[in-house]
Amino acid sequence: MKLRALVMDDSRIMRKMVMESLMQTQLADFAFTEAMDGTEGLSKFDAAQFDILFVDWNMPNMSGIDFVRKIRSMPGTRRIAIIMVTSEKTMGKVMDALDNAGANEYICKPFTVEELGRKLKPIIQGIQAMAAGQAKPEKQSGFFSKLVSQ
Amino acid sequence: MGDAGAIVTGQDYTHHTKCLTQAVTSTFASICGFQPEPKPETSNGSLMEGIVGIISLIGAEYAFSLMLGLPHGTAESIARKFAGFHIPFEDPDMADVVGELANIVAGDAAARLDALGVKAELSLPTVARGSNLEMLLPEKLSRSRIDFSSAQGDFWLKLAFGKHNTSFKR
Repeated sequence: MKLRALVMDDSRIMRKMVMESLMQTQLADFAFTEAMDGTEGLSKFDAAQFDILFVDWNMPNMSGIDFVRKIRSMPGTRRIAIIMVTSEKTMGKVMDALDNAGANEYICKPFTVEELGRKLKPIIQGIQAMAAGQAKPEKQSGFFSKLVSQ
Repeated sequence: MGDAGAIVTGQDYTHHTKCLTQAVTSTFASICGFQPEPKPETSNGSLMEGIVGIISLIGAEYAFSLMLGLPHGTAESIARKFAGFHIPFEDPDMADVVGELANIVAGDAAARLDALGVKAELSLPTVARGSNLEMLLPEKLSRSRIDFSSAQGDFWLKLAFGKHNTSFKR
């Protein structure tokens, strides 16, 4: 199963680094779509077309956190994993993203491939299990169980 | 009754300088695998040929301006470490990298300042590139410059600090 990922960052280099690092984790085969800010991300977004979103915070036109709030307000998006990838690392920002806006995981720049893999493994395994129809909610934890319980 | 929005002078920014300096050393240690070392100033901070990442941290009480100056050779060396491939100095991606470095340093600095109770939001970074660059800061602000040496080359950090006068009440 190819994981359909939207990678959003106003830095072309960061988008490239995120995509290459994701491939190096070998957690999944990815099909990438890029966007350089929240506005472009919204124009490209379709809840049926994506499995996972990687979102920077500080971008022109529309910030990543505003984009996340918009996405979560749309129907059919609860199954989509949203991962913040950002230089913002104050506790307030982390809590805002995870507790208020609806992001599932938070990765601070700079990151290593190992850290990316460690944080994403349970999420990606959950997505793959759900797609394969092997979901057993009572035995899962983290992202997947939270998703199913909503 | 003070002038609303006027800059308060005479503040001690020792702790803030330390936060921003630590943000630089921590960021470069993470990205490049080396810890840059502060060193005595050896020039007036002008770049014969270089690139500068500029970013601000704005809070209700304080404003900080941070400039990260990289000479040509240092910029290419650090960019290679950051991106994992060679980026020519004149390439648009070099501006992208330097802007992102400034962004990451500022994010780290904001977290350290937050721990001191100083709240600040990041601006978007801007980048200047050219020859004989002299980055000037307003004279009325408290200013600081730290030169660094590293395995990837020398670079500098320029800081400016301002505190708003919040004592004015209508």
